[in-house]
Amino acid sequence: MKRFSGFLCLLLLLGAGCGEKNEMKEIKVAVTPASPPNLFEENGKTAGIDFDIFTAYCKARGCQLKITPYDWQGMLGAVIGGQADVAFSGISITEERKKVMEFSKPYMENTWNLVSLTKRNIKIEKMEDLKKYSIGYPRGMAYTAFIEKELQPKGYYQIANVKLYPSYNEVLTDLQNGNLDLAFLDGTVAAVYRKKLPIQDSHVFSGFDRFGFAFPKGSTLRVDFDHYLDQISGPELQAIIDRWIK
Amino acid sequence: MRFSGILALLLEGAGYTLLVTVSCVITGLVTGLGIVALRRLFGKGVARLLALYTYVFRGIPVLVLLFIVFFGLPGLGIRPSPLVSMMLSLGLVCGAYLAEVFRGALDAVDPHEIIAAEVMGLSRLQVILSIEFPQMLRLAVPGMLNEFTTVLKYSPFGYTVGIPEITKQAMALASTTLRGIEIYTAVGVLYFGIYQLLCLLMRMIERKFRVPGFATQ
Amino acid sequence: MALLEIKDLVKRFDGRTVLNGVTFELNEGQTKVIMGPSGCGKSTLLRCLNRLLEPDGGQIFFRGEDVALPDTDIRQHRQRIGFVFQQFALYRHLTVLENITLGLRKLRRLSTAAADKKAAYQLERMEMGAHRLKYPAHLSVGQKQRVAIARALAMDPAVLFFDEPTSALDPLMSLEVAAVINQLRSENVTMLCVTHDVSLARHVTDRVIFLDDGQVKAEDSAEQLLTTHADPRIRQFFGQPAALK
Repeated sequence: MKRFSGFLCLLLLLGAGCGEKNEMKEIKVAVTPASPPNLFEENGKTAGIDFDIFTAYCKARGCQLKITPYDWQGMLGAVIGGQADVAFSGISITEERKKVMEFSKPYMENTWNLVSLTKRNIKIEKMEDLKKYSIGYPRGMAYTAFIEKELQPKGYYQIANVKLYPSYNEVLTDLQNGNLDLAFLDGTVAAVYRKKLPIQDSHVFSGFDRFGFAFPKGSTLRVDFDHYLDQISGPELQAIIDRWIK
Repeated sequence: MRFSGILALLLEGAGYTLLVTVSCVITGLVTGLGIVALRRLFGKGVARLLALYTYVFRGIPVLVLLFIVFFGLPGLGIRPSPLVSMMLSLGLVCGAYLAEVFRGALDAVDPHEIIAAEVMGLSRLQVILSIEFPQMLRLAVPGMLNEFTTVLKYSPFGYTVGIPEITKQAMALASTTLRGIEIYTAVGVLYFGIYQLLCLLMRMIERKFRVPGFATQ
Repeated sequence: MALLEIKDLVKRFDGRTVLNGVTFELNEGQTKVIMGPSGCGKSTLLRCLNRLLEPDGGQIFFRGEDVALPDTDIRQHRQRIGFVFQQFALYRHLTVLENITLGLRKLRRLSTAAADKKAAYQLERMEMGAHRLKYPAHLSVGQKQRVAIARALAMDPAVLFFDEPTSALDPLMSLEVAAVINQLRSENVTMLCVTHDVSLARHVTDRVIFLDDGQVKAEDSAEQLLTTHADPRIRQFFGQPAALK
């Protein structure tokens, strides 16, 4: 029924102002439900670490979530353009993004893993070996800045040699097909895929990547959400994360 | 997750794909016909303006236009809904291409018939609606179907602005089930089904309006 | 009073003068044929009279009213003239019946039933009643001609213009067209016919206008003009050697 009314909203070209008017404040959320374990869909329902954190926040503050799924670029665009009050799907905090949006305090440390098929058994012992392999990841990810700032100046890897894909699905499919040697994955994403696919870490970069919730510039919601993160930081936050990463 | 469940979600996405496609096609038809009619009704100045429109909108990538409309216009205080954004980007681009298709078809309408209608005393608009458009539309069927198919293939951009069409469902499902091959095969079949539906619809319309001996390729 | 009175009509194309002061009259119920060598301005003249082309000078009086003025209601004026084209110009996407009812419905604002009735009458008059549901592509050349005439007549025009009605037809069909025009003549339909077909001219009219160099060079009875006219150039045009005279 909810889906049907949502469909009607589109049909009537309303977009905004649909649904029953509620006393509770409605927060418009942009997500990309192809980012397990931070955000994905289970039987058509939104789930994941980021979703749990923000749902808990909303429960504490008495507000309602209106979730709209976008593709990755659309999600970031929705925050920048103000169509969404907040975006979360394991979004890395980067200097580039900070220019156009605001981030909450980091809620998760993330590693960046270069993974290969187990049967290929690629191990990157020296950074100099990296240029022998092809590296791929989804378009719009923070790895680009990382390669440009950290690897390219030292001559370890050229950004021009990177293969870009629409999402992790295609990256991993190409990896399995043998068209790609190494896939750049979040540590969290890698943990999910390691359970289902014969892949292994070839190299792990750490200390570069933190996840944050993204807000439009000047968001008061961000200030309040940061207060909330401070309150739950420590065991409470870790418990939510551990629920999805064992 | 069972495959029937996957299929149900994909079908739900197909509904949105159809909605996006049909909305953009209608937008395209209205603008395309409008452009052709205005070009016939008014002088060189208007024609030049319309030529500029078709030139620009055929040149801008749909995705860029979509970003300008959906993420850019709110900066000016205009907040188009996702579907309207698609109509204002993909729909208007479709209109620009259709205007060219129509122009080609219009050239194939016998100028003597147009003059005969004018000499009878019909107004320009009456000539356009009674003589030029009915013949032009019949001649433009293959080109129109081409454009409609292009719109269908661009409909996944709807996901960029938050319309949960087939591609969105596929990406979300593939990321959790890792059954990418099956899912994308099903997606391919669904798109083909929608394409066939469009073809069937066009064939039905074409048959209804078929004129014996009138040149249709 | 003359139905049409043309005075000093001038038309230029890119500085070339095609009509250089054409003057003649056409009375109610009269049939006149305009003849002349190719490029003499015959077709241009017809197209100026219904303002399909804009005259550069002169006057066109239609029942005493000058219709060559800038503020003339051109669409209103055109509705009084039935025009039968050389190429017939039937609307290919419409049936024979629809070809005829279009103007009745759009201009005379008749209901479909009334328009159909009127069209059916004109089709019977042209002996085309049996073909009313056919499309133009399925008609013979002669049948197209008849439909084109029926289409023009259905609007109850004050005058019927023919532009080279026989140029697309073989001699036998030309006779048929001549018969149709004669039939209309006997019904006192006013007609103006541009042609270079001498036999058509002989069959259908009492007055022939000879146009050359953008001017009316002679106007006389068909017999006079076509056989015994004084001007050798005219006799030559109509195939009468000068020596005969």
